[in-house]
Amino acid sequence: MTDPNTQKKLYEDFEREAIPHMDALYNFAFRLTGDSDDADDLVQETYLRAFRFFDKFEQGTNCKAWLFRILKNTFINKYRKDTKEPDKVDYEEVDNYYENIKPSNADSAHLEKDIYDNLLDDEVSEAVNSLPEDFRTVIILCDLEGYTYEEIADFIDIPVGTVRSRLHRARKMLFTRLHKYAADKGFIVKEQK
Amino acid sequence: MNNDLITALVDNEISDKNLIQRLNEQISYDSSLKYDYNIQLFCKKIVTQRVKKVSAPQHLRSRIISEIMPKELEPKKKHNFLLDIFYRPSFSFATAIIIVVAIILITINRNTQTSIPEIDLANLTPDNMFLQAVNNYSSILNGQLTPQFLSENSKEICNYFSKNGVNYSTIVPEFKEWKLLGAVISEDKGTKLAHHVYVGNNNQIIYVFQVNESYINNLIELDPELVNYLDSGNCYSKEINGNLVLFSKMEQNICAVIANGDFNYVKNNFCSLN
Repeated sequence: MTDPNTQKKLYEDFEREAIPHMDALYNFAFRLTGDSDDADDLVQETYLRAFRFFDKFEQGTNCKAWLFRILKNTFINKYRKDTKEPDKVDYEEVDNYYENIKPSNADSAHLEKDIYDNLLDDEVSEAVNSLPEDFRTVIILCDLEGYTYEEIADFIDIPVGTVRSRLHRARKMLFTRLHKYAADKGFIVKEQK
Repeated sequence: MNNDLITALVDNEISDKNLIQRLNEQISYDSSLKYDYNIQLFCKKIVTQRVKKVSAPQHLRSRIISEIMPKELEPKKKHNFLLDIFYRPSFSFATAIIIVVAIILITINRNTQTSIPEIDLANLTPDNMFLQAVNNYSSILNGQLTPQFLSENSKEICNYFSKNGVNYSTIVPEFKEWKLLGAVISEDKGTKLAHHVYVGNNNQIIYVFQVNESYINNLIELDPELVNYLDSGNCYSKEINGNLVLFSKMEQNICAVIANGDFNYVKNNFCSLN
């Protein structure tokens, strides 16, 4: 496309539709990569790619979801090419730990208080960052960014039911990690069954 | 029952009222399910409240825009007047001599700006840092503006600024007589700006608004005479509505300080920092 007027119009549309989502994309990129320089590169590449194909973007559809999909694909192609597949999770181990720390009366109130009051914000962030990518993604999009299941499903191209079950497991996994941090630091005593 | 449904309940993702009621009933009598529900709720709460969002840094925003902006929309580069005249051969030698002589004369006769600039609050626009600082201070005293981040630690406040999108280095000194209360980040045309507050005895409140000097008269207005006055190493102060308004330069930042109470102490503290 070489016509300067078309190019100008395209840029103006892009600036109006896509640029305002940069903070949300950056936050997501930062949580995915765990590094601000990598997040910079990932967001920049996402925007350059999005602009290159913006003439194919159907105006009036969800631009944010479209950008998230590009970012996720760019991340998979670029940053995950060495490992080829996402982290494998031994969910049975997580489940065992989760069941093992369940208090006998199943009252979680004091456990929650001990974790909430004693762990630092950075430790909570670290626990989120340490989750396997697929689980981290749904937690960030749902709990940090506040998107609905339908939006998340749209962003990362999975069924709504999968978003729900992934979130369920992600939070269980997060809880076991927070519990481990707190137990290692002596804030809570493991009640072995 | 599918345990995932309690996750959907936690996230307000169930619209069927009967199902919500059924789930709530089950949670109330099944202690194991109740535990799972509470854990889901807890994890959502801890992520929402304790994991901080990070914003895209300004340099990234500018880099992306400059990469995609069509050439004809780019702001035209200003001609460098001095270089232009030196490149014109017919003027080059004579012009160079004149400029050198002029610079020498200016340097010899240079007066540093010592006269105190007159600032009239009534003539200032809403973009003006002076007016913004005065208005913000009133809002603090009225309780309309409260710190977004509470801390008595200057390092924590500086970290809060840098982690939340303030893209210039900030200075938050600590003083013996005042305790840091907290900080606020404001946004002006997409740029984040740093404010912090101290409290002292007898309801003394000291408010500091600091802006990198490169933003002055680009993003935020400030009387050029006042900027020159500060650049010459001076500290500006004026009493407005019974409060002290002080401007000083701390490293690369222009700071507006507004305080009630012991004016001399405020002046001594902030005017010695530049």
